[in-house]
Amino acid sequence: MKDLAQHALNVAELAGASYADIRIINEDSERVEVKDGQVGSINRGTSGGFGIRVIANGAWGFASSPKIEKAEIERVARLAVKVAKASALLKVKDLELSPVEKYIDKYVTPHKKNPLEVPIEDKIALLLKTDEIMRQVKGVNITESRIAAWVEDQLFASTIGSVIEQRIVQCGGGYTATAIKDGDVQYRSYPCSHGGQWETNGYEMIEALDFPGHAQQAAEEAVALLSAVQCPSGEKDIIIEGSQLSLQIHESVGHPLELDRVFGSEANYAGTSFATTDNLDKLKYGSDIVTITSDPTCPMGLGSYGYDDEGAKAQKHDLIKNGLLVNYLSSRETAQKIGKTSTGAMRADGWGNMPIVRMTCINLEPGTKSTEQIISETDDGIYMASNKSFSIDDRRSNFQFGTEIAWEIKKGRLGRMIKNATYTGFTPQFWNACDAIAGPKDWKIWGTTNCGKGEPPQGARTAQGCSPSRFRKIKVGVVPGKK
Amino acid sequence: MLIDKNQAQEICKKALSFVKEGQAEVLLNQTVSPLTRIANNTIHQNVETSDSNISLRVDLDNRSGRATTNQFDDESLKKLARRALEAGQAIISKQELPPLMGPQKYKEIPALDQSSAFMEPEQRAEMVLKAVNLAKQEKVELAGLVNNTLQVNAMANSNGLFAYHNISTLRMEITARSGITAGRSAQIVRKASELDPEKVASIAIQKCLGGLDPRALEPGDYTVILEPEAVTTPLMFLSYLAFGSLSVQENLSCLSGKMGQKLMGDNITISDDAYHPLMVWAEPFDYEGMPRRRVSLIEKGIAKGLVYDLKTAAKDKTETTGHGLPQPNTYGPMPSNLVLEGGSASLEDMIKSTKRGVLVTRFWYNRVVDRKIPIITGMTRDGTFLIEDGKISCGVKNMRYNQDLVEFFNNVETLGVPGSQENMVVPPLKVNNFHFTGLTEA
Repeated sequence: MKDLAQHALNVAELAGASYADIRIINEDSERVEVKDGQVGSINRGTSGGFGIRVIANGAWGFASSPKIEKAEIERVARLAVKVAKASALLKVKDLELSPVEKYIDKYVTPHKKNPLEVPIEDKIALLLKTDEIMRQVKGVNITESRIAAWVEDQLFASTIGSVIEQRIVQCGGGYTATAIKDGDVQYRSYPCSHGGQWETNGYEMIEALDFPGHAQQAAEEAVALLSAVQCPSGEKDIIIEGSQLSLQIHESVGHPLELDRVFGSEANYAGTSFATTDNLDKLKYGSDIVTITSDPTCPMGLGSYGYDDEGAKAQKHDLIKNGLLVNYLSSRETAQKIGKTSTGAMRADGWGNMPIVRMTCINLEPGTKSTEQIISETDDGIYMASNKSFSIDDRRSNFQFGTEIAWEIKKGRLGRMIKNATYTGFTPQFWNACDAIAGPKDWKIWGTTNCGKGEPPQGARTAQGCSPSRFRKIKVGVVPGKK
Repeated sequence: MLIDKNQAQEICKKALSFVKEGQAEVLLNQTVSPLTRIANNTIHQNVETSDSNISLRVDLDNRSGRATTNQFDDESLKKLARRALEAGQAIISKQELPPLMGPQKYKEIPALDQSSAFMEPEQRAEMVLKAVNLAKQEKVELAGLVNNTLQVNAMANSNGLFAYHNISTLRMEITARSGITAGRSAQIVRKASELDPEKVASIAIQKCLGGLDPRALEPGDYTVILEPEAVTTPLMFLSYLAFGSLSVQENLSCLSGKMGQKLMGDNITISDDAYHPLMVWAEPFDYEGMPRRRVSLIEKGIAKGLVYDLKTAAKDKTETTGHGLPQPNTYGPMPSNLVLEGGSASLEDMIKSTKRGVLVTRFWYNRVVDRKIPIITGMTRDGTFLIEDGKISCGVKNMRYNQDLVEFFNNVETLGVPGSQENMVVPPLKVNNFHFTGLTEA
């Protein structure tokens, strides 16, 4: 396979490429779903192919194919160069890339049990047992659960001489109980919504989640939500639980700090960013206690790897340091434009797509207090958990989130359960209202499997680490259309 | 390059031949979708991508497993059959499975056009160049894409069913930018000659220039005029939240228990019709190989029908409408080709008749807030304007909405002339009491 990769690079250079890289990938996957006491579906997938990226005449070209054969590799290498030359018809100036070291390495993400080698029967049995516990709770109408896994083997080679082999093992899962009554639909998920928890990890993470052990509580909370009080409207101090805060970080920190979108590359689709480069080292993005990093070396994070998809080694970087914007998620091309080197955030969806700047593991560094202490120091607030809806404008400023469940906080204690909780705000104001972050004991890294960006659309698996945190005077109970 | 009908039949036949136990169904997909992407008036991404997939379902006495691969050699197909069989064998308890049907007859739907199916990167670059030249004259910057797509979908099963369809489209999207103000236009066609790059760019540029120095409007209830792309958002969300028969059976839909009742305005008639003459993207069969039927969903405001697959149809003792997704699945059938019947008004007529309102080009980051009512939220984007005394008076900063969709379709005052939006046909709409709940900085 390495010979084929080298041959592709040679063909591309002979056709006129000044730089070329190739990724040859095979990904095996599996998804098992259970719904309402039955196996809903089982799908086992294999997808293999290669993508060649070149610079010719000072512009990018990319071509890919599922046929990993010598003749096809030659055709596709020449096609990538032809595409680059077409791109150059509109170029303003030649592309420049920040330097990257040459690496010859092999990397396997840490794991004990390959999730694809665990018998399907075991996964079905676990899900059916969990499902049965949920269905025994009176008032639950729909029960759904799933386990999924991906194992990707990748070979990267480039004309600077890097040859990097990686195996990335990822899996996860979760479940949801749905309760319906009198036109009201309420959900409760474990360990969180959007399918559950996802990690770069082995099947041991599924075993550690103890699906059956939390099923009754999830189901009972779904039913209890039907008779919970509605979210009040107004300004409140809110404490946001980890999985919900993870999505807040994803949407209002991760995306706006992708340097390609800052430069306008996503203006037609995913949008741009309010955090333009004139704000670097100036914008007070958050309060002094807010430090957020990009760390693809973070253990178990769904956005972790050894090297990114243009051969940059995974490294931890500060993005926001004590509230100040200090860096972006970047690639070799975008980092060069701000006089920096790549943060190693260039990633592609499989073999068939050109890498773009993506989130890695975007982590809010832990504070010092416990979650219980933060609650005890809150006089009048709301504790919100597990995402139900999320929306943010195309410059990543105005957001609105809703959660599956919430509880009122009165004089330092959790009180009545609240349903249909929502909050809204503007990104920098919101992060500057952060006055408490729970400590390492409550810190956890959460996975996102379906981050969308790019044209053609690319999915990405990312992670956001955090612990429950408090935000002062946030607008809650956004009045819906229905009066 | 293109997998033709005979080749598809051979591939499906070979995949089925490796299944030695039970019944089987194979889905074959080929997608070739080169795309030239621009930002800041230059091409920053330019890709030639293609892939083909075979998905094999093996049914064993009410137990079903599925496996998928993009490798078509004999060894890979044997492995595919083995993996699907193992998946089915792993299931101990029985599943409720829809049957594999025999041969079906399909209506003709316009298929692949050579001019959009096969394009060179230089042709796409020339189209982009025409747009960028206009932008440079007006001192704005363009982002966007030109994308030609060829797709083949075929399927076969061990009961003799075989279906094949190919289709191609050409799409151009342009977002013109000046500072933080943007304007957008898009066109998707079947034949390359129908696409006018300069017209697409001109509309986007004029919207951008017309929206400079936007005003901030107070959140509240407004009359809105929605361009067709904006209309696709409430219609699409209503369709997937309400019109699928499984969501009604599960009591998740706002139509649950309300079929036959008048829920929306007299002027609202919605159908699912893959055969509508303005439909750009449609296929004559679903993922169970069943012919797509025209379904009347809402007729003059009355809830008339739902889309079905074989499983949900059996439960309601009716027939499938040909809207099934790959089986078995947990999400049920979905509409595929929505048509909102229109009227005769032009967008200009609607603007002239409006004392004070907001013109919306499109919505962005739309999500469900309440599943059952249903309520969705999102933002305006790429061209939002204030209308005063029958004229567009200025651009306005983008706004957040939270909107009950049934209420929305009760508040439609005027429907315009319908047009194609890829797999939908929709008119522009004038709608009263639309709920804007927040605004943003641009």
